[in-house]
Amino acid sequence: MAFLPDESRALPPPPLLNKGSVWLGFVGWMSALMDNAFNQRPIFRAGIHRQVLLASLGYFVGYQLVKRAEYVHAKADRELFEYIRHHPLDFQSPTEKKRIGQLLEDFYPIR
Amino acid sequence: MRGGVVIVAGEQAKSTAFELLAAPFPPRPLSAFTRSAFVVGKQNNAQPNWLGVGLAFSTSAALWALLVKQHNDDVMEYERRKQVRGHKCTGCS
Repeated sequence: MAFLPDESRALPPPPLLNKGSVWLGFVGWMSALMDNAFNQRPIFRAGIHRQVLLASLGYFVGYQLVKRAEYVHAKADRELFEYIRHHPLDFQSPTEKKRIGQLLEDFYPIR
Repeated sequence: MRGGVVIVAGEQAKSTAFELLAAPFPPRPLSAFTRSAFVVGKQNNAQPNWLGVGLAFSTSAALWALLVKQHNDDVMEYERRKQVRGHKCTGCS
């Protein structure tokens, strides 16, 4: 199974700034900071190259994962709407939709 | 780093000489993970490993370039397929 099948390219791509990328970039940065902590180095000032690399890697992987997630959701939606289209009898409302004015009692103002 | 089997304190202390010699080479990394001073040298954090720094920054730059390029390719491909589909209604975007 392909990670991103060809038909996924017909979907609008996620924006460059998206939640998955930001979160995984943050996770990568945190793991670099944790590596500094475990090796008893200054947490923020040491290994800037490592922090940048892991954050960039997380950002990149996040983008790919968001694309995959959007594809999976779109596929599920397509199958759902196809099912609804093929079984119209199961999805009819029994009567017309009732208006709220018909449900409430009539209003007689008391002055 | 020397090859051969590394003895983790406690767990493999009862292994016989035969098992030590018969272990496969190179040692399986996860089952023999150790920070023992016999296999790990002392880190020198005072002198930057410039090769590592250069590789890390260049890899980061390459990753960003790849990401931006892929995003632009994705946008173009999406627009192209939208054109091919011939979007007819004018109500939505």
